[in-house]
Amino acid sequence: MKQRIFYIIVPIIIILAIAASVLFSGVLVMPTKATLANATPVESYDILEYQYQRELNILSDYANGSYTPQNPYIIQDPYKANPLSALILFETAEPAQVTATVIGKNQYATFTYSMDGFTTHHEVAVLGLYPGQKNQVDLAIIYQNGQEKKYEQFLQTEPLPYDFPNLAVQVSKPEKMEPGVDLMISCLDTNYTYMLDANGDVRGYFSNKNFGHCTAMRVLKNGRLLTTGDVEKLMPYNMYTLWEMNLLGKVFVEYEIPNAVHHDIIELDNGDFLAASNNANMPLGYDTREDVVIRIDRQSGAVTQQYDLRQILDDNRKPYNHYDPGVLNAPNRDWAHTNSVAMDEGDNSIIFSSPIQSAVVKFNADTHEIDWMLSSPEGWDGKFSQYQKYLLTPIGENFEWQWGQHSVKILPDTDGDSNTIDILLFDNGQARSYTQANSINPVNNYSRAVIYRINELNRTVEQIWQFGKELGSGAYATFLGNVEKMQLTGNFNIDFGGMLRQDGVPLDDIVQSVIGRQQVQSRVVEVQQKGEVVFDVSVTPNNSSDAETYQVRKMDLYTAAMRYLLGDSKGQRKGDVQSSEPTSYNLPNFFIPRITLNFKQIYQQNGNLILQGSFLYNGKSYMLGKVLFVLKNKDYQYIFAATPGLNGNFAARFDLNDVQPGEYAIYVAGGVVNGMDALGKVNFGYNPTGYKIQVK
Amino acid sequence: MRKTNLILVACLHLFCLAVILPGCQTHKTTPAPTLVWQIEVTKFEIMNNLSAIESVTQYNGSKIDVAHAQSPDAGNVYLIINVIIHKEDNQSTASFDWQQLVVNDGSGNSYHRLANDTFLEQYQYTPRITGLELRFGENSGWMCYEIPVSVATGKLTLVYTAEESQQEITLQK
Repeated sequence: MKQRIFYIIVPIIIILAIAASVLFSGVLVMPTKATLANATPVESYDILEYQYQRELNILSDYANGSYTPQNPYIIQDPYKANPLSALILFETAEPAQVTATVIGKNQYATFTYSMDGFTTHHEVAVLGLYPGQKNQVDLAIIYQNGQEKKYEQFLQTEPLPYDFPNLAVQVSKPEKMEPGVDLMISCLDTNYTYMLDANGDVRGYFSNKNFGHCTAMRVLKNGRLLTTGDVEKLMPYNMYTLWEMNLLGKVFVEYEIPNAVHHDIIELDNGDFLAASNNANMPLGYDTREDVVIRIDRQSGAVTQQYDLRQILDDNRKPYNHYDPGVLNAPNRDWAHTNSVAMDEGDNSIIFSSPIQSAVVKFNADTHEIDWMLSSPEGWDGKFSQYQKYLLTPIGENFEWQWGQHSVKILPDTDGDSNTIDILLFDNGQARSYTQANSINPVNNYSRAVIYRINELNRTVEQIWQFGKELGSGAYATFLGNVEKMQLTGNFNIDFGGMLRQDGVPLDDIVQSVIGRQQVQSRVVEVQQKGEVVFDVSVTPNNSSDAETYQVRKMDLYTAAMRYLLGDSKGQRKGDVQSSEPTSYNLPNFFIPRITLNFKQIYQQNGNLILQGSFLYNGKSYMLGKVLFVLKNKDYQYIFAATPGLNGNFAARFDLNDVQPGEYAIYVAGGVVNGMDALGKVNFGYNPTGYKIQVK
Repeated sequence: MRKTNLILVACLHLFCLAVILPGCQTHKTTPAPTLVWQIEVTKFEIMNNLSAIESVTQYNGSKIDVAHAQSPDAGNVYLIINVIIHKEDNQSTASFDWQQLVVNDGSGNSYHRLANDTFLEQYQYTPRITGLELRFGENSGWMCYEIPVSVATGKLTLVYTAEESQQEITLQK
């Protein structure tokens, strides 16, 4: 009997010992030659290199032929960025000046652009083509002796993408509108940024949905467009990079901003930028978000000033609002959600907007002392009563406070009184109360553009103009939106940007929209000061798209940013790159294959691995969860933590400079939490991603 | 193993092959020596219609399946082709002209690429190859033709007729 037991137990012990030694050796999670051979390599990509190489390729191809105005070289969408654009290249025997005209449906939709000076080599940017049709582009060649010749070209374009939002123009009175195109800026990466003409026709769009999220795009004094780039620090719109670009898609400068930029950027008088931002250690090393204003040196790209709004306002004040995702123990509280910045260079002060606090605050840039606060007095009592002295006293008729506002701008002086300042803003009207008990139901709510006149000496505020209340809940936008007063006509361009609707009924749940669970629509209205609507377009979802409009900006289609020659210069990179170092984590010695990844981006750039996407756990999305990425070969293992977003989203930029050269399999590890407590029990997963990376 | 069993196993294998092979479509390329533009078909599919189910999480947290469907005109099918179009002769000025790329059936009929096949991406045919004129480099992706169902089972060839780039690629099922 003892012998039989011996013969049974000993083999079991041996098997268990072998199993244990195999398990603890880590061989079960070691990449094999076969797994590496079958894995997809992570490719290198750098937009500045890519675009420069495109330019050289175009020039090389062009050099093969002999191109004239009658028979020019045409390349459509030269940077693979705006499919409704083109470049026309040719030579003239004598120096000549070229004027290009893209023929539109009427005079208001026809765009003309003249090149500078007289040259024999010509590179003509063509913008504003219609989608899905043959476009006529006229070239007028004027020689120095005054002789003029005209040539016609016809460019066939492709239809708009299947998921391009639906546009319904209700009103279009081009003769009363501000000239130019409406730049319709997206907020979510399920939508496009595009340009509309006065008839409401699409005349350009950016095929890259990953840049410019939920942040103002502004035309700089040099004619370039300033926008956030496409490297994400924190979902869904805190971006590491800024781009100076043109409407062809050419990026002239990429600024690396460790703090990340969101919502707003403006150009100051000296060319520097002021931006809504964060503490640079956010999100993994800092507990709040979107509560810092930064100043960026234009020459170096460095962040030279950081205005910490927690030193200016009390971050514990909690108004009722719809930005709150309802997460217990959230790693990054969003108490301010700073969405607009302005600078009064006359007295060196900064104005910022916090929609969560429903407050617009002006403070001195040197002392950080608050000058005034434009905010309802509700909720500024008790332990927040120290702020009451900054509140303005309303005067005049029909006065209403703003709630959840966006887009604060200082208007040029119109009353000749140096004590007053006119502030234009978009009043979303969210809740219209500090408390839930007194909040307005979205079906009875409204949004509007409003001008407040603030007398800084008397500490009063007067409402001197508004438009939007008369549209009622039909234009109620819980979030997003902007207003701008335009220079030539004095018209106002108003974007009711984030209209949440279910079966046509207004809703307030922003979070569901931002994480992709609720579609959103928008409406853009151009109105004269006297109240006549001259343009009105509704934007609704189509297929998988969203149809929010973060902001609308009237701009010239052609600017000085088109005046450059291919191959003359590669885009510059400025500023400081921030990327994550390896971390430590106790990984199991076996796989728990539960995580499925959906990458929106995965590439190498200058010693960094850039990742963005979302993950499922056991095939389901969870509101709370996070992932780590593991680079592993037979000799080394490096673990990097990605920045989590809600609903399985993640973003990461990993520093590979200290990683030993070699080929690595990439694994993912991480977990999800049931419920809405970030400290809740974690369900764990660990498995290969199917990717590999060659580190040099 | 007995001889009858071996025969049975062999028959079983042949049966499996007969079932599987029609689903595995390959192609045959007629190579041309010095082409400006080289076209390679990497895969093609014939589809009666396209459908996709998108799982959409609703406002209240519940999920619903949203069905997307796309059908050709009555009596037609989609011919969806994945191509690599590469400019071999970098000294040439010839661009790639989509109008010259047609699908021919066995009866001498020609079919042009659909003017709008952007819908392909909704059905996971990604990336779609641009329909803009190509000037240089390597370009790849899916494109879509619509052909009568009556010719779909017959001989189909992808034909490019531009000068110095004549090619005929048999789409072999």
